[in-house]
Amino acid sequence: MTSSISMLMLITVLWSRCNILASAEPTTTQERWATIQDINKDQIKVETTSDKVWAELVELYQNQSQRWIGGIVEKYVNEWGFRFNPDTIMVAEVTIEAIQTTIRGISQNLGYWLGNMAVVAARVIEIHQPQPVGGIVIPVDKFVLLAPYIGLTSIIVAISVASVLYAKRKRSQKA
Amino acid sequence: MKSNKRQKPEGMKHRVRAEKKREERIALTVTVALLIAIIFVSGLLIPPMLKQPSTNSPSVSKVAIVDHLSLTYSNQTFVETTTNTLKQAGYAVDYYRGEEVTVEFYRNLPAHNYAIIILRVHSSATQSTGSEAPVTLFTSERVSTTKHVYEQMTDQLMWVSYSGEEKEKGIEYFGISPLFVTQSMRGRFQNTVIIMMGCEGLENSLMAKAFVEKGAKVYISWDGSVSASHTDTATTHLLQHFLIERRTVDESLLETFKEVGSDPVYESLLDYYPVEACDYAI
Repeated sequence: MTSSISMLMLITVLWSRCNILASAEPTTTQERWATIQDINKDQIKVETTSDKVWAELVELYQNQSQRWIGGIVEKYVNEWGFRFNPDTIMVAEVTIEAIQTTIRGISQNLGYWLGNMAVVAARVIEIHQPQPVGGIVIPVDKFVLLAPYIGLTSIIVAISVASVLYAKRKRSQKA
Repeated sequence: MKSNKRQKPEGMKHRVRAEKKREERIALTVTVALLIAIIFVSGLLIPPMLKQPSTNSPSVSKVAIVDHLSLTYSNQTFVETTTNTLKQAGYAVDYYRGEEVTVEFYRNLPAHNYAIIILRVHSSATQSTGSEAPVTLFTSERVSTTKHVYEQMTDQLMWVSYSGEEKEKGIEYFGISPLFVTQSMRGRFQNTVIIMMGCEGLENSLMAKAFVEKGAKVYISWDGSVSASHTDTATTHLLQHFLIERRTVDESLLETFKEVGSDPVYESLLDYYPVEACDYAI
């Protein structure tokens, strides 16, 4: 009886541990996010609720420039244990030195940075946004479409003309 | 001698007659060959719209969910939520999977006499060159140069692709243009409400006009690109206002906008055609 209860408890503990491990996967709450890479080549996903900031991130991705990117640090379930609050994301060319750090620096000193503004010198290396339910329209290549029929008709016409010419020639020979 | 003289003219006549017959045979053969060629070519190009439209008896309060997006952006939650809303509003629901959305499917769509048609489909009004095209609805039928030749020749069917990369790989499908709606769809819509959830459905009004010309009461769609998640969310809200709360088209769209806003990425908005349908309610 006791061993059964112990086994049940062990299974429960293992199951909950599995769930904790599963939830430790990096997650995002927004439909769009950018992955930034700092000077140490460390990467983190950045989400923003601001269209203006999003446009800046997309531009940074396109021109591959380095900027100070960051926001207010908050706890989060990912490999670093934090994220930048999506409502507070900033992209700047110049910032005060006191808030400059690195991804690893924040992660290793989380107690200090939690709830404070922090920025890292980084490049945007990936942009993710939902794909539209659209596509492209391609004009129909009508020549490709008609080619077999043109070929067939040409053959029939050629045979017909040849037959008529042959018949005329035979008739003129007879005459 | 006499018999020889007789035989000679007879031989000449015989030969002339035989020659004439031979020429007649050749002429006949040529004519038959030409006729066969004409029949063969025109047979392939005869518009299928000349065929008699099927005459299904009118069915009351039926709704179609045409889920072409099930192939690329499947959303079972949307399907279940929408089906429940429609049933709650008293409609019977016909659900069509992406694989069923072919040219023939679209051709027969009006014949089912649906009260509402929800087109959860890919659509585009942008050519591969970037210039504007008539709004075109995607099918799941791969392009073929031997099928629907007449419709392709007359721009009723276009070729469409999900992206430039897919086009490069030769992955192209038939797309339904507004001309197909007006010229090749069998039967007429009976004041049907068309909810076209795809991209750019009202980028221009050509598709909307075609549906209305074919008997639709109102055509609701997006004025630009839209993501699958946003169009699903917005349509769910729209149906709630339009069918359950029985609000007008205009009010339903306004309420939906207040709740979900424009597409967060593409900034497109839901709109409707024609303007006269603003006060229409179920």
